[in-house]
Amino acid sequence: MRRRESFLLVLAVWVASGLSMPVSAATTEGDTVLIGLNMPLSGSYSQQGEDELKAYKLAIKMLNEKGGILGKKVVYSVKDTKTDAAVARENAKELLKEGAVMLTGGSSSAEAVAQSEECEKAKVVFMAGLTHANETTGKDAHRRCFRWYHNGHQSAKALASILDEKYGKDATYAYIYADYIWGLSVLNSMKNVLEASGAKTVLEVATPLGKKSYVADLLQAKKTAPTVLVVVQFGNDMVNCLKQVKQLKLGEQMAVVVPLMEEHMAHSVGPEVMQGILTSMCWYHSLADKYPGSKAFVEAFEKEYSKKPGNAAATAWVDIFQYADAVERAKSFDNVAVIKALEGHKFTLLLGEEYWRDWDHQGIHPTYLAIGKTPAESKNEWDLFTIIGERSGDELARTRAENPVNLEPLE
Amino acid sequence: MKTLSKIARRWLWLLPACWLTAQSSLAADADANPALRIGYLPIDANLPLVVSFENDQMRFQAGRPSLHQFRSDTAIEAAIRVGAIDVAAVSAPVAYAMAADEVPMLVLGVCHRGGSRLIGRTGGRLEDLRGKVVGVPGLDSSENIRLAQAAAKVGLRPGLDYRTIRVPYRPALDDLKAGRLDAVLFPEPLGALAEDSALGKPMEAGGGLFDGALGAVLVARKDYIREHPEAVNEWLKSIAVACSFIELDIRENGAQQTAIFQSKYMSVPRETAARILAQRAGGLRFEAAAADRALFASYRDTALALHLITRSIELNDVLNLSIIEAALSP
Repeated sequence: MRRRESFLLVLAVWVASGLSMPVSAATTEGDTVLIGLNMPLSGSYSQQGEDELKAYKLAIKMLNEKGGILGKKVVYSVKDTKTDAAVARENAKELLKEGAVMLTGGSSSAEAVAQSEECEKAKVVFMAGLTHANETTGKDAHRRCFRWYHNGHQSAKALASILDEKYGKDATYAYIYADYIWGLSVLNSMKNVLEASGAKTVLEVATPLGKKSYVADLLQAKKTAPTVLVVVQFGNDMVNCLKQVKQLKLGEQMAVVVPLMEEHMAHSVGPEVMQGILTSMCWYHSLADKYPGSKAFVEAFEKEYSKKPGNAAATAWVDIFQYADAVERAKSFDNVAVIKALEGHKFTLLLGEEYWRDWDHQGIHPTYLAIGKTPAESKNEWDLFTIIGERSGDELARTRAENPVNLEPLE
Repeated sequence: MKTLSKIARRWLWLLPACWLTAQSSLAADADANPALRIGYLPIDANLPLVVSFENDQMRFQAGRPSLHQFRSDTAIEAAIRVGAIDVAAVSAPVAYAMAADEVPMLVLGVCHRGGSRLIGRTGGRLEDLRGKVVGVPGLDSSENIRLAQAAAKVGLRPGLDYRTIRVPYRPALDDLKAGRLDAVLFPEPLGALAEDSALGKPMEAGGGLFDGALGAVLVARKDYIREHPEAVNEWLKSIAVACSFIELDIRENGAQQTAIFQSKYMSVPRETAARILAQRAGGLRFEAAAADRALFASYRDTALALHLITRSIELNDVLNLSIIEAALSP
């Protein structure tokens, strides 16, 4: 009598009726353009993905309030990569089928590389989000991929100077690293830079993404009694690993370095765990005190979400506004015109003047060295680091000899 | 064996509901904010729930929203009864039926008007339904009530001059095609599918049978309202913003952004979703409001007349419009 049947059958009916999704790539007809947002909203890097998504949405909202890009309103389609490169690739294919003029996202380098490959095939610009592996603008670089985030080489070079100074050139290092493209990339960069100055590697332990217990790995590290324990983990994995470092009181026996930091990871564990940990970042919200662009970003983000943005959000912010700016300057959504507008382009957005390097599409800007604040130093839940140093982008970036990449021809 | 099968059929719906409850309880332990479990159907009328979630899920502070799609109002009703969801949108008569059955829930307001269409095999007018059979999603659906009200104005009496029967969606289209049904009245996007598949044509119905009509209503469990008023308030505010968002998107972007959300959560192709919204199929409008009591009363009275609810209910027992009024106040 009171049954109301199966509305989910709608899907089956739509599919059965042969109505297909639009398949044209990079659709710019009509009054709107589509941007594909493809980042982890579940899995190990979900916090970073969520931070990116917040910034993407806010940036797009602000763009649309000013009339969009070339008079077209921007609409977006969000997909969850689940912190899985294979899912990221399939998502990218779907977004390209939907007609996205640009894809952006990441939070794992494997995801970014997969998306970059699909975008290159489809001749659609990919503004990489959080991706730190050298490969993204190295051996896996593509002409249509631009990456603002700094890379493992830059982190390693920036950290090496201070590690040498602090622990001497004959210090020993133990590494616990994520066993995929990013972890290996950072491991090799750190080893290359540190060993070149005389440091010795005493342990390398590879761990799978999503691992819950690092106790056995950490006990192994403890036995080697290194001067420095380098935790090459990210996202929830880093959070879990550092919690266990704290539980085992390893920080009292050796220095702990996390080559790449993102605000949400530190926020998850708080200053009790983060205090004294040395790290590198491409951006931190305290830069709002120095740069007007960062101040505007942090204020807008806080107003919208009642929290501070992390550097995943910062890269998302740069990606959207830099793409929009390039299209406006090119007066076209055509990927070739946009690439020409981006290559070598100098701009000021969150920091001082920076630029997109034309031959590998790496964003060139400073890398910051930071140290975790103690609970007493931390003024609020987001006040977790003190920036203790800054290295210029040009000083840290790989040379052409170090990164012999040959991007594809434009046409 | 037959008895066992009957029992299984009757109570099987409890399994997913219980599972959902258990999962939600586990999740609730993980965070201080209460879970806000939102039930919805994949129909255009429920779009504000989806848009609210998509836009604000990362902004909610008083509750942790999660979206749960159901296949029918009956399934949503079951989930509310067992406490597996906290808030939802359901067809107005279903809410009355729950109230008549003393289910502890309240109707808070509405977030849309219109959005259902009468599709006849060969088109035609409302008057042409005399002697005909019309498929509706449920005898206790808003569509059935509205049809009865509109038909009365052209002298047609339900059950005597025309007959409505409950039909599952796909069979409805098959039945329409085969001539077993003369017309269907369903919420969008289902009418669009019938048109796109050339199974029928919209019937003229005096400027729009469902224009401005009451469809789904926003409901919440009484205990949830009592224990987490801030979460309900936040959700209603978000629904109101979502309604404005959809209306603005329809006006300025041809509903493209909303269509992307709809394709994600309701599996409707983007172009079709945008077309339905841009054309305002069935007089579809989105606005969060308390809605006027007279409209609620008229549905209740029609439901009673059609014996869809077994006893009259005091509107004050089922309506609490002050909550949404407070949420919508500046």
